[in-house]
Amino acid sequence: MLAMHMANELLTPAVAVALILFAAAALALASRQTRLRFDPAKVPLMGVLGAFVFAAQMINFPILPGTSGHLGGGVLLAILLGPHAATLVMASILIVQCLIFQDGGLLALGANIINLGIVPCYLGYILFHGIAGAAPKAGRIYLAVFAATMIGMVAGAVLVPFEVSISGVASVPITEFLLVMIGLHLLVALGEAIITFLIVGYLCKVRPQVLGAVADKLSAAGKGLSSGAVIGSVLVVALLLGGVFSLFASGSPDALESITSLEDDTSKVLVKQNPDELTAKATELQERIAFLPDYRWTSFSGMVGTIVTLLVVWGISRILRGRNKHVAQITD
Amino acid sequence: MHHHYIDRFAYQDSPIHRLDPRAKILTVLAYSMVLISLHRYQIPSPGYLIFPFVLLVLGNISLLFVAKHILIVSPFIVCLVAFSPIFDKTPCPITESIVIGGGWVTAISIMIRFVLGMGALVALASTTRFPELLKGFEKLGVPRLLVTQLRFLYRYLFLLVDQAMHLRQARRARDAGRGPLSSRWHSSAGLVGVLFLRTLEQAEHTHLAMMARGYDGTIQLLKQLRWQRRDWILLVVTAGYLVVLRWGNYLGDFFGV
Repeated sequence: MLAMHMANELLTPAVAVALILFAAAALALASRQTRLRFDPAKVPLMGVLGAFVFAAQMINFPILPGTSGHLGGGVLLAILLGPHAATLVMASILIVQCLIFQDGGLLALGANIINLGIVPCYLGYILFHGIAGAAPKAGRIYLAVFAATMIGMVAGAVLVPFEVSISGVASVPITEFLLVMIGLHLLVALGEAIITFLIVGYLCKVRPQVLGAVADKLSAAGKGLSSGAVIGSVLVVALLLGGVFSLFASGSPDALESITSLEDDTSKVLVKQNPDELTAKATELQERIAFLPDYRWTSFSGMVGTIVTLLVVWGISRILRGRNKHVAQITD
Repeated sequence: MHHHYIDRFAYQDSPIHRLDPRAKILTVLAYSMVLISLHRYQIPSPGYLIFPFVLLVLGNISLLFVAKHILIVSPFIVCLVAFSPIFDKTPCPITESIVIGGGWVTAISIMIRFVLGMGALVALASTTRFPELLKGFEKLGVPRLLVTQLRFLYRYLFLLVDQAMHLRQARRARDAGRGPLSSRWHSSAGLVGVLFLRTLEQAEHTHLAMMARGYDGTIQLLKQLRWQRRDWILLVVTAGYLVVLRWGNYLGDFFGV
């Protein structure tokens, strides 16, 4: 529904290259596995499914007046095609998003393929099949889709703060960043889970044969989604969000910071060079400039951060809606 | 949806458009690498503006278009960077009397580098036709399977987006954008499902048609890439420019300038 693409500038060259190499190795493995499972000549046609995901994102799922979400696709593809093929499709989507729409940097592609492709697809697939079991009923399939989407997407999103703080470029503390990312992606994954289940259900009802072997397992999904399931999942997400916010309020554990924070030589050098008087003046000045000055306010600023981010995303969705209308006019 | 919407600038002609895609890919990669190798307390010098600016202006790309485009992709990084002044208060002297927090310097540095890097990427994408760009990546060693897949994605993107828009329009003609939320979600899911089925059918038909025409796993392009003298010039000039920009002061010290 919403993808936070990593930018080049948040990574250092070493981290960027390491992530690209890791992603490349994983893709090589995935493409070999895909060739074993599908007719080799058809493997390039996975690209067509990539185009499908793009096109499917034109179809809106209304949330509030003026706001709507759309399919992300990773976990849906993992359920329908298996994790290897799904990873390949997601990677091709991310590469095109980078090259044509400049969404995410060229050097950040490794990070993006890992966060938005490899992790959600493999983790989602494992969780889905682990939870669904052999012959699941509709409720259980929904539970499996819900858990797979939630955990798959949040796990991918959680990697972003780690990658950023290992790079040590942006000076945002990892705990707050982590909590904001988890909070945002819980909401996103809720929508994605419902959409994924509805699409799977539709396909099972209309044309189970295209799904191949998975169709039998998924057939109960055709019964549709009960309102109880939706209310239940909204409650679960609300509880999880409450947990995230209370972590913010409790002044956030700093254990994570000590794991990843890198000692910054330059900052020390700078401090050393300055006489005490200058440092004191600077601190005083800084207190005045920073718009939420006191460090005690970090939990508060974390919450403000979440709200600001949500507002910005909402604003962007409005702008994009405008843009889509423009596209529609061009083609009409 | 037509080609001219997505990459309308790539089908122009200019000195930059005529360059070999490989030369452009390599220089943009090198430029981005140099940009992210800067320290977080280092603000890029104005010289860094030259590379994207020259590519965009000689490539006849509207700077307004570039600015709008960068704005659209920037919210995530803006939100993130906006918080660094709160957390990093290391004093950074700019002059003897002006001292600001390190977080501000980082925020400014990241945003400037983001705009510059995006400018270079937009320049690459909008002065190179996508099929040729892919050919360039293929020649540079990106696995052929992946490139072929990207080629298919690009070919079908327009077709399927068109279909999605037709589906959307047809629904709108029937429900006028109203109705209970649950039924609209069901109908949206149905539309995506229909699109998925059509995609599979389309892929199947295309596969058969391609096999009938002797497809052997490789796609032949009419236009072959030709590495010419101007590509060497771009590569060498950019390399010299980047070395001077990034390591100029060390070089100066070394030669005693």
